Amino acid sequence: CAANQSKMSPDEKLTQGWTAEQLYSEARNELNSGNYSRAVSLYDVLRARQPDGRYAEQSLLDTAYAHYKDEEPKKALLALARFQHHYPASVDMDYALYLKGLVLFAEDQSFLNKLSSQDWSDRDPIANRKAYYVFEELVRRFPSSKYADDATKRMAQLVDALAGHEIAIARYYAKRGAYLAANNRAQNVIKDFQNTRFVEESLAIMMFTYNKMNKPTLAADVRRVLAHNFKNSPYLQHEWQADDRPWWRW
Amino acid sequence: ADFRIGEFRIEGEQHTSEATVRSLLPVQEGDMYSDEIGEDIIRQLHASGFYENVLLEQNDNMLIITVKERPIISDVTIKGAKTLQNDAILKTMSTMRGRSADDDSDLILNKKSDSDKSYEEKLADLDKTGDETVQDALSSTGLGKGDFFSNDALIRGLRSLDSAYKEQGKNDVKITPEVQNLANNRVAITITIDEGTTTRVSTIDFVGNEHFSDWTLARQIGLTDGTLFSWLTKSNVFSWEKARQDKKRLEAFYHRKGFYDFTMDLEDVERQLNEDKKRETITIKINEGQRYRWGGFDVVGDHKEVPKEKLMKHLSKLKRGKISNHADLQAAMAAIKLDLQEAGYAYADVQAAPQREGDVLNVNVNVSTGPRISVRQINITGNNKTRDEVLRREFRQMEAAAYDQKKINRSAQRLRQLGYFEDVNVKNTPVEQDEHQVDVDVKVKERNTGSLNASVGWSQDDGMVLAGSVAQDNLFGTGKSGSLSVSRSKVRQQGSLSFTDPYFTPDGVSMSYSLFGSNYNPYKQNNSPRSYKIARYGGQAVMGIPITEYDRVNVGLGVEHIKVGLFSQSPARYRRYVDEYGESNWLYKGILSWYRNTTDDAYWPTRGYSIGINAEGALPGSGLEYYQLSHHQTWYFPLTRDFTLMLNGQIGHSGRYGKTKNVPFIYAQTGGGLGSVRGFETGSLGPKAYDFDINGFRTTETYGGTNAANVNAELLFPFPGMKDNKSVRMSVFADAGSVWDGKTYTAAPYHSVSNPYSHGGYYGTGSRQSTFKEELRYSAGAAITWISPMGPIKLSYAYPLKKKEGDEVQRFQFQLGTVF
Amino acid sequence: CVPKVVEKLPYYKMPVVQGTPLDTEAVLSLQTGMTREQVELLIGAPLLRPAFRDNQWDYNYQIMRGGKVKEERNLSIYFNGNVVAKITGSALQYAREQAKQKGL
Repeated sequence: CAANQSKMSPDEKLTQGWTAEQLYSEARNELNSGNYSRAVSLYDVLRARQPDGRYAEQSLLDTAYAHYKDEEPKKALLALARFQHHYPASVDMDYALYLKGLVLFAEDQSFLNKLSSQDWSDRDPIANRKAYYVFEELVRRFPSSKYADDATKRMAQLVDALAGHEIAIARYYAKRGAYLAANNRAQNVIKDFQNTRFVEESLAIMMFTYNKMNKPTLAADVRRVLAHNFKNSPYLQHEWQADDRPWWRW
Repeated sequence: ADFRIGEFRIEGEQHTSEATVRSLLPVQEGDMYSDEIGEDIIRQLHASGFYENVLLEQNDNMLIITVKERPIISDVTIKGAKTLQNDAILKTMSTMRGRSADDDSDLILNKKSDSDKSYEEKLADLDKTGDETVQDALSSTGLGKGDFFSNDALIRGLRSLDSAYKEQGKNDVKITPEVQNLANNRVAITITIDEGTTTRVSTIDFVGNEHFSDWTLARQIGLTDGTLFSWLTKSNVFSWEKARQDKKRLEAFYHRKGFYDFTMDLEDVERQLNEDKKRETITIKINEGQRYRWGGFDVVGDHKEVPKEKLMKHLSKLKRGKISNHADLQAAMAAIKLDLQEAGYAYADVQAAPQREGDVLNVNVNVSTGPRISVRQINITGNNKTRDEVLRREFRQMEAAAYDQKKINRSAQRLRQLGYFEDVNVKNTPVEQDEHQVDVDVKVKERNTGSLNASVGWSQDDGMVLAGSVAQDNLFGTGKSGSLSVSRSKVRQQGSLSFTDPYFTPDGVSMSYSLFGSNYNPYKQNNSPRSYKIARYGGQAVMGIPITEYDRVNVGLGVEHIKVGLFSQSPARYRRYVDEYGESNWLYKGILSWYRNTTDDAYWPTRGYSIGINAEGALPGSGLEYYQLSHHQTWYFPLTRDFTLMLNGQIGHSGRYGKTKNVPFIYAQTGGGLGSVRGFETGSLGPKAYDFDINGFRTTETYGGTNAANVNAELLFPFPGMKDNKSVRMSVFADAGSVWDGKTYTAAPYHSVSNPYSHGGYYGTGSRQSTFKEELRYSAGAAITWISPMGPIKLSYAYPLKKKEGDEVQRFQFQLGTVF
Repeated sequence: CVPKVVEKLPYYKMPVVQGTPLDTEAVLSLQTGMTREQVELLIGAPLLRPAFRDNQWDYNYQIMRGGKVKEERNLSIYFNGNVVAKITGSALQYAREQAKQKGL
């Protein structure tokens, strides 16, 4: 390319006369062997020199993947955004959405996290919700894509986490004596997350809080619904109570 | 001519694929074509930013779309930039959004609100948070490598660059862009800059100031006409940004001096540049208006059930007849607004309506409460590691409850005091369905609260030292904190384990347990008859009980076992200790302390105070019957946005009771080092005697004292250049302190070893009483605190101003783990 | 000592507030026959959302400290269809006392 010689990055000089295929395959095995920053710079050179055609499109996707593997979510999202913008009709759009979902899903495999068995509902719900919508778009626009079923599985995981977040807050407020707040949060679970495993407990919390606010009629309504849906629910016999973890467990 | 589209034919595309064009079209094959549809197609294709222009032709039922693509940018180079490096230039150019708005790709997708955001706004969100490189910034404006080149994007970029240079005072900068066409429709952009010279302000004069001289006004503003350091600080370079800040400074100055009607208009600032644009004179026109004194005050309007006397109390400070200080009025009005917000009127509005009578100002404070608001939900975000309950339990404001601004402010303060977060900000967002309700959104930025270090060291008297410790304030995000530290060398073995649960009960009673053990036996290393052995192990449990919203009382019990072993010629004080108290003792310790903390952050306090009284001692029946009392106060005063003054004071007393005749030196008060008087070795203040070590050299032995007191003043400011990230803080300080016990010491020559009750000689001549004045030491210096991912690290250099013979000076001191 | 025991000790317990105090005049001006919109205009929508019935609106205001209720006022409004049928609750009595004090 015509830019003056001195300004060129080492990769540009090295790959002076290379064809697009050579550049792409070199970048590809850099990517597979895990040195992501080198792969990214090679893809950039490829895109600057050969801005159209299959290679440019694929290299943008690979750059995003490299950033994702390199724990650089922001850069990965930026690359994916450029991809979606420049190639709206690309055949790999389902992969792009899937990758974006993974970036937002941001599974933290760090050792410490596994050790602490920190469960998903504890963390920031906004990130979970964003990942959910991206996977949902993938499944909606490309139902037959090979990524669709894994996306659905992750969506279920995210819904469970979001519902877990609501119920955890309901439990906290019930423990603290803020019965009105606990009741509203429990109702959120019923309203937004009917098909999760928390419905039974949220009904129990609603019954418990209505009683505490001495609203027997409303409590009776909830008991009827609980009995109807969960025939042998333990909460029919004894009231809900906060499960206080012993001090030494976390 | 309307017709039904049989099929499309796309021509002229090169970089973009035919499928891309089809996906951008608002119509499919088979739809009707009309002129409006035609315009719509052209607008959509233009909106994508890929195409320079679009031609539509009809060939019976086929619509032929010929597109002319914009060239792709293959390189952007900058030449001739000196004051602004290339990166800064590319970044400023990128802040001007050159791209036309298009919304097809959802960048960071949040289904409901984001989809209507324009492409640029979404990029802006991304930019704000990311520490992206220049390349990413550029690619977000259409001037990056691989982007479609559009001329107006370049022009907009250059205009922002030009204004950036003007802000730097380069008024006659010349920027020439050059676009080179390359093969298969690509371009290379080169921008050459000739910066020219910086225009310096030679004179500033004010027009319309009768009450204050030009000189006093010039001292109020930032802009100068050339000072000693202006070559570095560029304070004599004019920029509109500086002008805006100076306008605020002048307004504040005049309003403080009673000129309620003072105004200054930025348009009235005139700049006369001389011919070669090197010098310029600035004339600032102001209109002072009249000087007023305070008259009467009244609170007008419906303040619902908030009592009027409560609101009037805030205005009582503004005495009738005093010079009207606008800042006081603002503060009073803010206090009134806070009272209303506390009663649930989140959107209360407080306006001042002054009536001028001659030079007296009567002010009616108009109050309108707006609807009573309640909080629907509290949404906590940003906590990737910390559990939601750990934050929510600090909240004084409940969900489904009346809005209370004071409780929300207090909750934010408690979150900051946890020390887990670098940044906590709280924002209200109204609920669409019901304007009586609001959601409180809390956004936190987590800080690494752990400190983990392992070290292998070697010291001449300990030999090889292996040490490791891990401490984590926010253990796995549960808000509980734990620490384990172990260190082992031939001479000294130490270990300690502690665990604290701040919320043992839902209402915040805390429980903390700690075990410790240490064994010191230098004999193994130097097998000198002069050494001694000491082994201590024990444990304690402390319960922290909140007694008011701000005060806590700690009550604790502990047990400790001390065993001191002697050798034939152990130092005098250990021999005297064993004679008096015996070799091993069991101590049953009681701990009682009161503590109050209103600082606004655990690691980076800027205002508030923390006060504590601490009593600790061995309960009756222990081997040694002693007690230790201490009291500390630390005050933080925000001088400016960045500068904070810290004043700290501590006093301590060790005493004895029952059968223990005098305070064992192990529990005496000590001083010196970080946290007391810097510049002196830790624990080296107080009366000193000398003794001889194994090879006959005089070694100094400090006995500590029964009383200790120290005072510190420290000016804290962020590391220059790192203003907004709160991780490095520098300070200059002055310390003064003393440790004394009132006994008189006579400087006697060294007695022979055989007489155990003698002690080494005492420095100085004749006999002197160890009083506060006698033992007073002070020093001054500078320190730097880095709140690192491994915990706070403090490094300080202090120069002892007053020291006496025998003092152990240590100018550089280093500490890991605590802030002060 | 187990948390349950410690909790009984008389230490500072944060006041837990639920619901919002209602305006005295607004409460007094409530009568049967009003529509839901009128009620909502006067005292806002109820924070306590009845789950499975919608002919009853409850306005609870309660300050609780360490499990013991310090202050409590509630107001229940029963509807048939869209019109208020019955109004009960301690908030009415409280509002009348407030009104007398303020000499309305």
